[in-house]
Amino acid sequence: MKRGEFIRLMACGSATLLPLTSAMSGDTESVTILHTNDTHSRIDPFPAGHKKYPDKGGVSRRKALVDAIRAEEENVLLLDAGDIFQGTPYFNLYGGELELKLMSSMQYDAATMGNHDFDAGLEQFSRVLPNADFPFLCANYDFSNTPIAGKTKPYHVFQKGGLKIGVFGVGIELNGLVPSALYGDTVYQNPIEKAQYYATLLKEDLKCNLVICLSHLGYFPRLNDMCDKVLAEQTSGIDLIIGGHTHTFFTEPEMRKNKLGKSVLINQVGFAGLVLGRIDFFFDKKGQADRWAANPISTHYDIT
Amino acid sequence: MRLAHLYIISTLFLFACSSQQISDYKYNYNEVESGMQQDSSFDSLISTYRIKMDAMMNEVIGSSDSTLVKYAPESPLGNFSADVIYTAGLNNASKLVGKELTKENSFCLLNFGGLRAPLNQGNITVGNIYELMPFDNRVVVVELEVEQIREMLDYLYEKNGQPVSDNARFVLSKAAKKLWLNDKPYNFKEKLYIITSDYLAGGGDKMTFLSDASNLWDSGVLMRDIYLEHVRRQKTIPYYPVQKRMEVIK
Repeated sequence: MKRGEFIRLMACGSATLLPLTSAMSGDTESVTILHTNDTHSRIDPFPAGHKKYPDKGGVSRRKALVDAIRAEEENVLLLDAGDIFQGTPYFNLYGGELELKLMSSMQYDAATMGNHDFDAGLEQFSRVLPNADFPFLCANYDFSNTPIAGKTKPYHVFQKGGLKIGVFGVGIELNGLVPSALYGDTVYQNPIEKAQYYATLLKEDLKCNLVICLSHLGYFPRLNDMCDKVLAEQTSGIDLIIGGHTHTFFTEPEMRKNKLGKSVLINQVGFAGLVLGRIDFFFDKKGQADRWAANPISTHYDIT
Repeated sequence: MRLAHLYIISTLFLFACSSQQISDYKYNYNEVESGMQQDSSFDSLISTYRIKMDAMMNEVIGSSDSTLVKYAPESPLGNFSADVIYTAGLNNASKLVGKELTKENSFCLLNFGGLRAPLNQGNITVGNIYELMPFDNRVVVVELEVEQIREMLDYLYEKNGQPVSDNARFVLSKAAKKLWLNDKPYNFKEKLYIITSDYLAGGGDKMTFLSDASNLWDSGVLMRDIYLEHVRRQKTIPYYPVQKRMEVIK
């Protein structure tokens, strides 16, 4: 039994004797969300002579960093918001096999599909998919008539200590972005509608303490007006949007209000595995929502 | 009794924990940098893949006099890419299309989004070209009617330009959108032939004026192979200055 679990059991046990003290320090819990997006097959660090990112990034370093955090924290989720593929010859030569092997080895818990994850076609995606020991979460692509039918799922619920964390994924419109020969009969569905459906399911029906959306819509709109800001403001039930696609480096998460006026965080960590995002969420029974909402970080990242 | 007690505890435990709500959060921005600890267990896994890849990718095929980067509306990297594709395309397109393509009735149009890495000063390896052009896109020729050319001008104005070959000159403002080919003003009467990628011809980057066109010829040649062949043959890539091919006045 890990230490946190012991403390929680003690706290719950003592609650039967002293119900009025239930908000004492012992029964708070936390979960550490680690995340990447748009890693784009960047397995080795950038070359030492690279103008912008000399010797930065690299999966061996990311693995060591993740392992060090896991050694300190009990409840960790490692997530990716898509565009795992395309960008170095590792992908051209091996079709995504190594990227997924390395992510499995880092114990990623879930990922969603970005537009570039279609780049080798869905036949090839299906061939390399067995290398992923984690689910691909895609709530707004209907893959029924494609080679990956039944191989992704819309959401997954993770039990971390006493916390339930619901994660689902939404992807970008493929028409005009990905050659149709590559996405084949994939049907793109409205991400706002699907996000609302699964956020409600996870928050209301499945009683998740934390609901995370892995989004590859982009922080700002590019080809249509769908983006993470719109997703945050036109839905309810989502606590955190882990974004991607626009390669935006957030120095800290941005807080917005959802359609019910509740807080929702958006974060994105650039691309190429140059940054590992980490957000620790703290929970208590009182649900000091006012304090959570009183952390207004609104940086409004510029469109670059 | 003991079981019942345990049941009460676990019920309370479940209830208590499921009712927990977010009280606070904390953020850390962890840059993955040189000098950080590495996980050596990854090295053996990666090296089996890297050895074969490196042998192919590390071959030096030429060099660049300067670093070519991209930006809108016109940039050194965009000019290099469009010129290389246009030269190769023009050499083969007439046979493909069955009509003589000239610098007055054709040009090359690419997109900034498709240029995936700068071309750095110094040696150019096969891998550098894969990073510039990782996609398996092919060179195609699209025949545009006058109406589609007008749509293209509107698109380029809205998009703040895209890379074009050196025989084309665009001056785009809200009021007037002008095009010269080989220094001659376009008369908005003739069809034009656009040398581009199959991705854009299929409506990629919302170039619907290309996907709406009724005539398309696919060379089957990978754009990446054209860049590779060009660098191998030229050996040295000069600087490609910005030369007012694309002026967007907003």
